[in-house]
Amino acid sequence: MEPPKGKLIYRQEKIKDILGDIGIAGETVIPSAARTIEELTQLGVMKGYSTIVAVGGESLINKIINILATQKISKDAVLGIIPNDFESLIAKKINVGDLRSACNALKFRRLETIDICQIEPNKFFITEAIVENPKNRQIYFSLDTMAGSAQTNQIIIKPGLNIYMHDKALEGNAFSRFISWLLSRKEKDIFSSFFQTKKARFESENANLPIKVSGETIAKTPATLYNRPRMLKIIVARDKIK
Amino acid sequence: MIGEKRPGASGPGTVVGANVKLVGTLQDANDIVIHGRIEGEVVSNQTISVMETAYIKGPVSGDVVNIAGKIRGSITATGRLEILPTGKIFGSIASKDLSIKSGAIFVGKCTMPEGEKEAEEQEETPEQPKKQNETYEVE
Repeated sequence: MEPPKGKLIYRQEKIKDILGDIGIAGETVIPSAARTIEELTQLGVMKGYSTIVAVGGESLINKIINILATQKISKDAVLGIIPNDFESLIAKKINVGDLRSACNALKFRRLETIDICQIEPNKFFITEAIVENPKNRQIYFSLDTMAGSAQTNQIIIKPGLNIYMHDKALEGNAFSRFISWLLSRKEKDIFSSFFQTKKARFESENANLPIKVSGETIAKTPATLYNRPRMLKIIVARDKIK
Repeated sequence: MIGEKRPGASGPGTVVGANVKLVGTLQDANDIVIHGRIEGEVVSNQTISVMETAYIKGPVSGDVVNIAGKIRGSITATGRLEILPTGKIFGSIASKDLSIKSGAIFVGKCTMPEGEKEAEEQEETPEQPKKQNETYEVE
């Protein structure tokens, strides 16, 4: 669990109550200066816990994934998630909309083996990473069998190593966008790129651009990324009945 | 290899934006849409669309190939090859179903494997000429 502060204190008590109500018991640990989240995860796995539940934001969840993905002993460990924000990508990924549904998902324990993305040497993420720059910048990249360059201000990288590149400056200036809006004219987007690959490397000219996951910088360019297929088992909610 | 997706999956597998330059082999089991510049081979099992702003220097091979941009290299389409009015091709093309729109530029050799096969068959088995003066006996 994330260290409690502000509203989280009440929230964490509520999570413990719900888990108790539905019959889920376990050891609760909170990272501190003495024990980091990575150390606590490692301890949990070494104690033989089959499920590690991350209660917190994506930063905490990614730190746990870093351990589960890199430690050989944790190969069979399953990750359960109770996110702080139910509008977040991670909440959507596990298909939970509120605290109760996240706790119920743990109870029903529907497992899904997912791809994760690795940024060399040892950073992992399961939602998306963004390389963003306010201005357009020349980015050099290599993808499996080819190398290239692009003027781009945003690169979005998703598991499966799906790469979206967008070139903002070439969309036109505010006036041309206004005219298009006025005439209800939708310009065809010819400046976006999409690639799917197993390995990608990004370099930027004269700068180290941050690679952010949920707003937190976890690496900087130049960086090499890999797709790690079916590497992590996570607990997801049952499909909603439509 | 780029884009090893489920066979038969639809939708764009790879999109190369107008401000992207690539060197190497671009290969995808899915559709490829190119607005940018590529020096190297482009291979797909499905549709390759070379848009108006695109420039390719190298061989292009796909099932259906639509060309509105410029290509310097050979093009092989196992299905249909369509050269649109803005298309410019400098190289050989091979396809069993070819369409060249007015305004397109094509400098090179064209091969149609199915057509050649048909021509060979016709040469081997020429049609029997009809008898000119047949007479019928009527009782």
